[in-house]
Parts: sequence; C-alpha cells; structure tokens
Amino acid sequence: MADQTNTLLRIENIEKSFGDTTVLKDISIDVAQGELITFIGPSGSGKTTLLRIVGGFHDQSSGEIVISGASMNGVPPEKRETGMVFQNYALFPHMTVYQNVEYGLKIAKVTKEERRTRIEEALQQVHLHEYADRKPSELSGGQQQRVAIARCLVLKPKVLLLDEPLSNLDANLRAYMRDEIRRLKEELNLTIIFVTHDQDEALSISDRVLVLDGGLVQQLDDPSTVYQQPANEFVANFVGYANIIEGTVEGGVFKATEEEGFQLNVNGLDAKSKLVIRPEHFEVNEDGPIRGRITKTVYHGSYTRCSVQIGQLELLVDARKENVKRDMDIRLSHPTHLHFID
Amino acid sequence: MAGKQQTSTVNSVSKMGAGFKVAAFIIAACLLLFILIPVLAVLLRSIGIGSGQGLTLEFYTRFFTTSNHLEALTNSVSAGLISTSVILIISIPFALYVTRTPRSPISRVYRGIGLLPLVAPPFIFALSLIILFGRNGVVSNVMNDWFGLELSIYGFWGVVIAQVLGYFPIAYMMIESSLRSVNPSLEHASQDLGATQGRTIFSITLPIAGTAILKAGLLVFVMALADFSNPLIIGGGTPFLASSAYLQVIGQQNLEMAAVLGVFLIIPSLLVFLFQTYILKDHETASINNSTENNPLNPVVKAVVVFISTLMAIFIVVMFTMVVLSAFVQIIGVNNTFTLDHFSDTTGWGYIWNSVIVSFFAALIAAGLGILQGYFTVRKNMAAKKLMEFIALFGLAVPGTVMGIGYVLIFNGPPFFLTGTVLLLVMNMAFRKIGVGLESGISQLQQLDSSMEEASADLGSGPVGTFRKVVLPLLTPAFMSGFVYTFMTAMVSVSSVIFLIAPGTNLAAVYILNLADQAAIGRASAMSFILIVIVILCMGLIKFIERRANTSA
Repeated sequence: MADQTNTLLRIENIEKSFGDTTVLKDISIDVAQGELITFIGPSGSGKTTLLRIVGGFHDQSSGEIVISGASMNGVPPEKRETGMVFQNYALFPHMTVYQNVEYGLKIAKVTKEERRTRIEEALQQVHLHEYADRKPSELSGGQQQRVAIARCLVLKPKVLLLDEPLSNLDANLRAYMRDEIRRLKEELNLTIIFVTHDQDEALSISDRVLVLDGGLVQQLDDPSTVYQQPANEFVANFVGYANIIEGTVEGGVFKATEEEGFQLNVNGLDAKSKLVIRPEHFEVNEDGPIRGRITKTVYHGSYTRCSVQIGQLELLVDARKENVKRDMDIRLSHPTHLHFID
Repeated sequence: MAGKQQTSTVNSVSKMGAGFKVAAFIIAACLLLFILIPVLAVLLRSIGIGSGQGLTLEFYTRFFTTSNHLEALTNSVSAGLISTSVILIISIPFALYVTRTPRSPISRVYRGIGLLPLVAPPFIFALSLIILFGRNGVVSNVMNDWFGLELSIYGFWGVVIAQVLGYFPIAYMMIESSLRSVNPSLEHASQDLGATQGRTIFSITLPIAGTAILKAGLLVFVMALADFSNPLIIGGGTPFLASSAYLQVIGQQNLEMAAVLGVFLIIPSLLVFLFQTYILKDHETASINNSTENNPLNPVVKAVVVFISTLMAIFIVVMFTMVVLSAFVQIIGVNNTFTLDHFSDTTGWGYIWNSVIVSFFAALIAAGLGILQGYFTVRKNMAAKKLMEFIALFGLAVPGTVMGIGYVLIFNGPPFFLTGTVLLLVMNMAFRKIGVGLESGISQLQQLDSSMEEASADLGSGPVGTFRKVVLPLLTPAFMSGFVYTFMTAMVSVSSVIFLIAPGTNLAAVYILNLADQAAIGRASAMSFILIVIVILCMGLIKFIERRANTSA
C-alpha cells in the first residue's frame, strides 16, 4: 500500500526497553499519506508504547521516527505535528468545548478571527457546533470523544494518533464513531494511527492492520489478508476464531495427525504443517464429504456456532441455518477457503 | 471535607439500641459543652453579656480607639497575607518537583523534609531563628564582628519567616496530593496540542488543582492569622491578635477585651470554614487514576522547581539542625562545648510526662468518640446528626486562643470549676480534634457496604454487638489515623492549653514557650528535641503496630 513516493511517516527499526524488559523489538513500518493503520495486539504487546513513541511521549531506545522526511529524534510532543486522542479523551475539565478546541490555536498564536473560523469548522466536522459553550462534564461519552478529535483536527496535524479511542463507549456508539472516524479520514485525507485491542474494530476501520505481540510485528497487511491469510498461529487465533489443524500433505491430500479420517484436497496450495480453517468456511451440507456430530451449540443470531466432533478432532463450525442441535449427526462440505501456516 | 451522606433508610440496622442512645447523648452533650458553649461565651462576653454590665458595645469602641489593638489587627492580617502568599509560591514548585519527577530516594527525602515541621512544636522555627539571627545569634555575631551590622530578627518580619516555615507543610501536603491526582493525560494532551511544559503547568495543571490550592491558601491564612506562639517568642513586643488576647487575659485580667480580640480571630475562621464546607465541598478534582506515569519535567522547568525546593529544604534542615545543635552545646555561637546539661531539667521531664499522658487520653477520646459519632452519622438515625457533625468539624476550625478564652469563661467557676485540672486539658485537646476522627470514620464507613451489618443482624447479633464485632475491627485504620493526628498535634499544641494549665499540670510545649521567652535557648532546644523524638517514636510505634496487624490479619 505505502509506496515510497507518498510515505508520510516512517517508523524505522524502533526498539524500546524499560529497564531490563524489552517491549518493542526492531519495528519498521512506512505509513502513507491518507492511510489509516491499526495497531492491534493483546495488552502488553507494545502497541500503546509504539504509539506514544510516535507522539513523542516516550523516547525510543534506538531507531528513528521520521515524519515528512524529518527525523523526530529529540523533538518533544509539542513540536511534533502529531495529534493524539487519548483513551479517556483528556478534555480539560475547567474549559468549555470551544476553549478546549481553541487551546492549541492560541498556543500557535493564530489570530482571534481565524481561530473562530477554524474552531467552527472543526466543530462542524464532528457535528458538535451547537455544543461550543458546554463544559466537558455536560457531554456524553461519544460527544466528549468527538471534542477530543476536533481539538486535534483543528491544528491540522500530519498524523492523528488514536489510543483505544472507542473502548469507553457502548457498542452502538462505538459502531457509529467508527464510521465517523472513517468519514473524517476520507473527507480530510487524514493519516491516522489507531490503537485497539478489538479485532472487529481493527478489521472494519483500517486500510492496514499491524498485529503486535511480545513487542514483535506478527503481521502487517490489509484487513482481508490478515483475516484470510494469517501469518502464524498467533494472528490466526487473535484475529477472529480459527480451527488450526496439524497434519501432513501427500499427493495433494492433507491428512490430520489427530484423525487420519479427516482428509482434505489441498492441491495447488503451498503445503505447510498446519492448516487454518475459519468456522464460517465450513458449510453444513447433507451431501458433504465430512461426517461429524454436534457436541455444543452457541446461538449468535445470524449463525449458530457449533462444536463438531469428527473422530478425534473437535472443530468449530458456523451453521447458517437454525436447525442444528446438540447430538445431531451432520455432514460438512469441503471448506471454501484453506490457508497453511508454519 | 466529609463526602456525600448516605441516605439512611429506616431498617433494622439504622435503629438505635439503648446503649447507643446513651452514647449518642453523651457525645452530643460533650460537643455542646466543650466546643459550642465556650465559643458562644466568647461572642457574648465581647458584647458585655456575662461581665455583669449587660449588653454593650463599649469594648468594641475601646478596641477601635486603642492604637495597640488596631495595630495587632493589621499586623496579624498582613503577616497572614504575606506568609500565605510566600507559602503558596514555594509549596507549588516543591509539590511539582516531588510529584513530577520519577520516584527516587532524592524526591522522597525532599518530601520528608517538606513534612518534617509537622512533628515539631509550632514555634520551633521562631526558636531557631533566634539561635541564628537573635541578639546573640550565630549569624548575628558574625555579621557584627565582620561588618559591624546589627541584625535583629525580633518583630514583624521574624514572625512572618517563622510562619512561612511553620505552616509550609500544611499547604504543601494538600497541594501535593491534588497535583498527584491530576490526570497525567491532560498534561500530555496539552503538550501534544503544542503547549510547552511551563505553559501546561499554568493553563492546565494549576487551574485543575486550583480548588485544592485555594483551600490550602485559606487554611494557612486563618492559621497564620491566629498564630499565637511565634509573635510571643519572636514578635519582640509587636502586637498580634492572639498574643494580645493572651496578654489581656493573663496580664490584665481583661476578659472582655480578650473576647473582642477573639471575635476578630473567629470571624475569618468561621467564614473560611463555611466557605470550605458548603461552597468548595463538591468541587473536588475528578481524578481518574490510571497507570500512566506522571509527566516528567523538562530541564528548564525542572531547574526552576529544583532550585526553589532545594532552597526551602535546606532552610528547613538548617533550622532543625540549629535546634538540635543548640540542645547539645553550652550556649550556641558563644560557647560551643558539648554538654548534656540542658537535658538535666527535672521540671521539664515532669512536664513532658504530663504532655504524653494528656495527649494520649485526648487522642483516645478524639479518635474513639469521633468514630462512634461517624458511625451514628452514617448508619444510624441519631437526632440532629447534621448539627452535631457541623459542631465537631467547627471545633477544628476554631482558633486555639478563642477556645482557651472560652474555656476560661466557662470553666473558671461554678458549675464546672475545672481550670488547672488534667481532665480539662484532655477534654480541650480531644474536642478540638474530634472532627478528625469523625471525618476519617465517615469516609471509611462510606466505603463499607452496610449489607455486612445487615448480615450480622440477620445472624442474630444486636446493634451493639454488631458494632463491636463487625464494624469496629473494620474501622481500625480510621481510628489509627485519628489517634495519631490528635496525639501529634496535642503534644505540640500551645495556644489553647496555655490558658488552662496550673503549676502542677504544666505541659511541655507551654514550658518550652516560657523558656524561649526567658531566652533559655539551650533548655528550650533540648526540650523541643525531646518532644520531636517522642512524636517521631510514637508515630513509628503506631506504624509498626499497624503493619503487624495487617500482616497477621
């Protein structure tokens, strides 16, 4: 995605240790102008630390952050053209919405007239122009969130940094804010780094997803590649649900180690030792070649997730019809999508 | 101050057993007798009631036509304003330094030094200022020998410096805790938006901590206004309100004029108390304590705060060192040979023993009754509990001098002829501090779920049994903090008890004041040193007991 010509932000060989613990190991990423990239990983994976290094709140132990070709080494947060939206929004409680948004402009010594136009514009963009005179404590969580975004946007930062911005919102509002961020990004051609531990959020909002674990890059790809072709077992399990089946391939046929009877045609695939199959890539089909018995069902509305016993193997299968029950014998069609990992 | 009241529902837990009714009655009677009535007595006496003359404004007229009294008023007010401003200017950078640098042994030492004056008698700095800059002071002699300069610390500015040092820890403590609770991401956000650290401190950190800073400033101001011992030791005859009131009582037996001076002390205290209780109460900073580290200071800001904090810390340490040194030499600055003579003061040791006994029982009563009252306030339908809470907290705010005069008015004759007795000293100290036990009891109880007491009642225990077996053990930390605070302050308090002592019941802190007044600096220093050691030992002992109780539980 990020071709060399419009790279805005370069993260080069970043390493970070706190005392004896290394939290980031040799991270390199190029982020293009107008790209939204998500850092995702479990807690302790180093995603927030990396974001804070980009924003200038932590110093890296080695490596370099480059924005628009300029090295950010030793440049404090206030001199970097990054805008950070904090997890708890960090709105100044003693100032109104207007004053919060005005704060950075005043520091930048923007004239009063221009400040007014730019603040109104920024508040329009986040649909909050009617709330200018409120105090943060008089706003809902989603509104506070949008003030925090407007406060950054008004300064026209080169990179917008969002630190788990939606984690304090309820599910509906989260979906709405996700669309809002996406809309702003498209309208204003923003470059955004978005930290989250929610894989749904990462897949739905991003141009590219960076999966981190233990301070190491596990995978950096567009959302569908991360989902369909996870780089390793960690990614397969962390992003969505996955059946990971060990086995051997002979003559284009995969044979599960645990259950010899479980065989799949893998002709034309680059065969490795483990097969990844997403639950929804099976289909319940009366004429299917795979026979099994349902041991457990969990109803999810649009599908029912079943645990299916196939000999010694137990697999997760999403049934789209509602007629599945425990202890039912079923047959499955050949998976629609297969992917090998090491 | 006290947090939100729990709405008490009428249920089995909120009913009062017979034993509790008696206890509540005793508490209420004591609050009236030992706090409210003495203060009212001062107010009434100032307008002539009780003096045998009937209602008159004569004493106020006399106050406003006596230049000495007016001078006392302006001196007290201006000294209070100056020392409060200086204290705020120093304690803010000091607190910034301690809260905004990574935790290190150095920042912990600074913190310790900042709080050190709390364990000492309130006039310790007046004493060490005399040691350094008095007529025969260490520095004064040097200045005189080398430059022929005559230094004199006695007077208005001596009092101001002593107040700055003495009241610094109170403001520092409050400001430090408020700066600690400012959410660090607000400061990060400000810097991210382009503000330098200096600007962030002025436009984000300090405004958010503003309520606490205002509270600290007001508290220090009323304390400095009512300062009793510094003017007496180092004022050099310059009149101040509290010391003038004392001299009116002791020297001239003029209780009416003392009461008028007391009214000028109590009005500001009362106003500040009402302001803090009813207006500032709900303006606490909403603190979200997350794990994000505090924002470290940049080199320029750090240099400024380190400079100011270091100057202050050195000043405090030098002051303490002077007192310790002066306790162990013949006459400091004149004859610096080591001696233990100053410690062989048998009268003094007797008074120290008095102080320990009185403070111990006062602390026991203040913490015990305070917490019991807290329990009634939060969980029981005690009659007039709001009023009783108000009176107890008001007791904390009343200047000691006013309380002392009030006690003289009430207890110097029938029906309660108690002046000069140990009992009255204990009651005076206990009820001036009962508000501390009450507050810590209330805040602890609000964190405990009342369903625990319901469970105990459900399992067959009566209300008193529930209190003893379930509530009391859970309130131990609140009791401890109330006890330690009352003990520490009682050991070093002067302004109120000085009116109430008799030759046999003298207290150490009052005795030191007399020694300092008579320029017996060596003995005053030795006694102060003993007092500081005792207070520190007691605190250590209590910490030790607390820790053992925690680990064995």
